[in-house]
Amino acid sequence: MTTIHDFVAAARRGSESAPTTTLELLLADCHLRVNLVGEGMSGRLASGLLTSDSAGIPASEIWAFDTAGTGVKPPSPPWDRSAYQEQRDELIGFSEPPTIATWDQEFATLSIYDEPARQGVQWIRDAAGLHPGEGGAPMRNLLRWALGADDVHVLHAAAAGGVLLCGLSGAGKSTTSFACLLAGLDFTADDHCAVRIREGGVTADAIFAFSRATPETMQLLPGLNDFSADEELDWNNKKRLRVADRIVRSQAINAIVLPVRAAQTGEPRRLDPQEALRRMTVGNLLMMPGATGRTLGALRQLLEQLPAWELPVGDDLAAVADHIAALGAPQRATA
Amino acid sequence: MSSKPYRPNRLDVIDETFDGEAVIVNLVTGMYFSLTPAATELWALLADGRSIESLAASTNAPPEAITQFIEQLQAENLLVDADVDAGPAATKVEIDGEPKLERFTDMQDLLMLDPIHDINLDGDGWPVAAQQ
Repeated sequence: MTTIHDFVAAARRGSESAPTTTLELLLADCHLRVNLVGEGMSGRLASGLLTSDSAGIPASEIWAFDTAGTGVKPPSPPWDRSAYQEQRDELIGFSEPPTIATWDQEFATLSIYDEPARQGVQWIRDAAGLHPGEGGAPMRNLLRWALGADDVHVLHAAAAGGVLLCGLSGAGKSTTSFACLLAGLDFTADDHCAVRIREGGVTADAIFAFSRATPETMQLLPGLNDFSADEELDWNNKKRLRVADRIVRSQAINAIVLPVRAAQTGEPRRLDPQEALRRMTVGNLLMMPGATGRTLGALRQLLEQLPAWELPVGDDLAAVADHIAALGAPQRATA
Repeated sequence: MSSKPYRPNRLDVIDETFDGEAVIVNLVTGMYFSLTPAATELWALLADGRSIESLAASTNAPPEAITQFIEQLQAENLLVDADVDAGPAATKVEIDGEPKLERFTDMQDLLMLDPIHDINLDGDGWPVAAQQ
């Protein structure tokens, strides 16, 4: 049966003839190496990742290649046609370690990660056909699986002002995090971040170099125009923001906040951990391919260490930032 | 009372317990559940594989309430048949309140997992993009 080693061998063959960009990532103290094989892959993916100058042997190594740019085809898949699923792009029999894989049917893109081998591969026939979202948040599933193997959890959460902002898309995570950025609070991520939970505390690390904001958020926070990366809206009708220079790569997290859209910005309300766990489960587990009990366990651990709050987010975003500053302050968590 | 043993459906279901209340997620249906403290105690006993008879011998919960709870779990595909009954727990568990399962379905429509039926493969066995 085809294994991850066959996929990696194909990527390596590609790198013998096509230009390859190697990036070192250091996320929550976990060192990953990403090899982008072929000009198309490098050109589309490299700018979206925050790199470091880590050296040595990485915890995991990820390869991305396309056939158009390298002339190399992948091996035949180790599953048959009945394995493909509509939702979450999961493949039956490959939805949890040791080998996790997804097939994005719309963009015909494979992501596969083998936990024992600590190797992953992304493949597409032609990099020109990559999902447009890959430019801003490349290889999100692969990075999540690779980091998960070393107890770092990529969560659907923003991180700013010492808090982790959780909730479904549209709940107000990004808006709240941008309000914090403009208020001068530490800003790490607006949508996904890498979280490490230790007994001594929780940290959130930035993964991606770009953020994205809706036109409504841009209107509420005109200061975001200074970060605008493109004139036009992106594939999802959002403005791409170049925030890499303002990102605090890693910050301590002292509280969890679940923003909720409201007519007026209101006072934070303490949530009981069970309610917070249920609400975080929806956004962090059910929407993510390859999410397992490990992710649910991480959410529980987070809620054991940190208080959770609900924050009504209205148009008064200065007040939102003030609330976050208070909730994210270290003394609040230990009070 | 039934002596048929059951255990959690570990292929499709994950769970975590927090302060005596379990959250169960069915990754296949996209439904998630919250258990009362009494139900959480029974769920924990089911982890080893137990029948209604053994659960009743392990706790002070009324057998009818246990039966009803087991039926609820079965209806949600959260349980499967176990090969072995672990028997009564070494220490009897005191249970307060009703063993109840609260069901959350807000993600179900988004997450029902269906195989892709009309898939076209290229000569190497890889699917062709839907938009091609």
